[in-house]
Amino acid sequence: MSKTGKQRIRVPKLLTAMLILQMAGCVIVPYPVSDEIVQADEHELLPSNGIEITDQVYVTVGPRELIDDVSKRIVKHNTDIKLVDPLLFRDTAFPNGGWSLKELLEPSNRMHVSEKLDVQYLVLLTPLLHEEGEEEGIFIPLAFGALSVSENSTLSAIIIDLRSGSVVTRLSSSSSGHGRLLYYVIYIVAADPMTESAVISGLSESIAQTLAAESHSGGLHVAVLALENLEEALQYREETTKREENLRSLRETAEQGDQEAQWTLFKMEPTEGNLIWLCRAADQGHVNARNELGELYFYGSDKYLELDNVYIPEDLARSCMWFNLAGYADITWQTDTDVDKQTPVPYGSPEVERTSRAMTAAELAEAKQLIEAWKPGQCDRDFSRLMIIDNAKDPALARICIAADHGDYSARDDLGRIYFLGSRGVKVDLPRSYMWYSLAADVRVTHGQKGGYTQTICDTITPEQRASSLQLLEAWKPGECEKDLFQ
Amino acid sequence: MRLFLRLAFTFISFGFLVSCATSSDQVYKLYPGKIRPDSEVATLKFGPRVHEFIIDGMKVRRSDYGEIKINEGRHEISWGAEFMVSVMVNASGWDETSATKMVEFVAGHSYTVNADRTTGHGYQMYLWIEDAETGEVVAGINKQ
Repeated sequence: MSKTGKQRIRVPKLLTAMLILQMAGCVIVPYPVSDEIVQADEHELLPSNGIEITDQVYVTVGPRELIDDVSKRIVKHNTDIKLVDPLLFRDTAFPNGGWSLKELLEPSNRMHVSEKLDVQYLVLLTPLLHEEGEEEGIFIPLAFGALSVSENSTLSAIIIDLRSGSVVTRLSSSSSGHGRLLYYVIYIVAADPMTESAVISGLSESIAQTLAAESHSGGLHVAVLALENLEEALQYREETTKREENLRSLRETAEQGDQEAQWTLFKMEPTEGNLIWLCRAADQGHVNARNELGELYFYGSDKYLELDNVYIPEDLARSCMWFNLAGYADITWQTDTDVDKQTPVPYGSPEVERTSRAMTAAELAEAKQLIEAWKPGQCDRDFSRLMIIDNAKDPALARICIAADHGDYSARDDLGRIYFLGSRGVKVDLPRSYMWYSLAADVRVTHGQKGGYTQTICDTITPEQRASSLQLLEAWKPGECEKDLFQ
Repeated sequence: MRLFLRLAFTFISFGFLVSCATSSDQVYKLYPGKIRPDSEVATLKFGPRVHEFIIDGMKVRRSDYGEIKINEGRHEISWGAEFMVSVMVNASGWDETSATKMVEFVAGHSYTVNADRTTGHGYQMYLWIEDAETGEVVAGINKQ
């Protein structure tokens, strides 16, 4: 047989041997697992110690497999225990939904469930957590390597006596193991189920023993459900407390005029209520705050920030003004039409670059005026004009009004169409339709584009309506749209 | 003997692979009160790459339930997905994306919670919820 032929046979054999070894590794590689059950001290069972039952802690049957597994093992350890169907328990305890543990533990609710289903104890499982420890060694995924990883799984349960409303005990089971494996694939497959199985088994046995010890006081009808969000709620509470303290401290410093605190306050909570801090920081010359305003006007609030009652339309002139005030680039001297006078300056960001290139001569002129006229307080005044009025039944329409007032072609065109067709709950009004189409055309002309009305309105409108429209047009000023539609 | 080994290997490999992709056919009644017909509730299903989501604060896993029945109306839903990516793009070899949306679910309609991605340089990840009857995307942006 030729040398090449021998190699052809050896390669599949080698691959097969590797795969068999890899598969066998799942079974034969020893994976030592230790488990530990911890029962909470009595003082830790008080609601003020560790288990704060907030409205956000829900009772759930979501982890169905875990609930089924624990339930079966509990009964296996203590056959006197009778299980109540978890879904039936949930539906009886929460006839109107809500699923809040706090609501369930109200005396009238828990007694109602206990009597109706003849259930004395409620076992609530917390989410099964799995943590990986430090890795040691090296590996090449799906190939050879040596890896050592520690694994840890934890599962807790709270046992509640529904008749007294007290927490009987809180049990926590943890299991850890240490894998020393040759293949990465084996490690993934082998480690998780073994530690998880150990904690489920250990916890179930402890629950069964605890319930058996309680059985002298009556029946042993038990419902096993799970808790949603307990760990997250505890973690959230801790984070929220820290955050609130931080915010309180920042607010005090910001009120004393510290621009960095004002900027940080806005960045931590970029809400419309905190726009005032952004403005104050920008007024004092904070570069990042000014750049933020530049980006806000560049993208518009819909794409950049989610604000409920303020709508900031895209406004390249104001964007340019804030970028310029931030000192990121001397973009006021750059236009598409005046190429010779362009100043080669570094752009502070892609937004600055795009702003400078996208601006028309009219927007550039407006930007120059804005920069020259700018003084502290301008930012606040601009935002106050962008507030969506409280009584706007259609917020989308209110946003169109603000954008139209701000000279947005598309918004003005939309209003022309809305008045022409009578859409979005607005009555047909041809003079106003013609007026908005005219204002939209003005924008296009200002931007050096061809202006013009849609042929349909020109064909439809009567000479009297056209005259009425021209009167409206002469009297028009920003704010008219909201007045017409919402007042 | 050789044949036996081959067969054994094939069966073990098959079991090894399918154990990674379990999904349940159980139905999760996530609304209060008596069981109602499908025409009166909305149904949520997992798309191929979504393994869990949180609806109104309640986590649901694909391995536990295949369908979730909820009351019609607005619900907050959070979901995400992890994708393998080239280590040239992301050193960890993984990338993830997640979203939280308020969605109006209509009774009698069935919705699929989806995630997908494009591949190659400048890949994009997409998360969306689709009305299975109409094909309408009711939340997020779908992969075209």
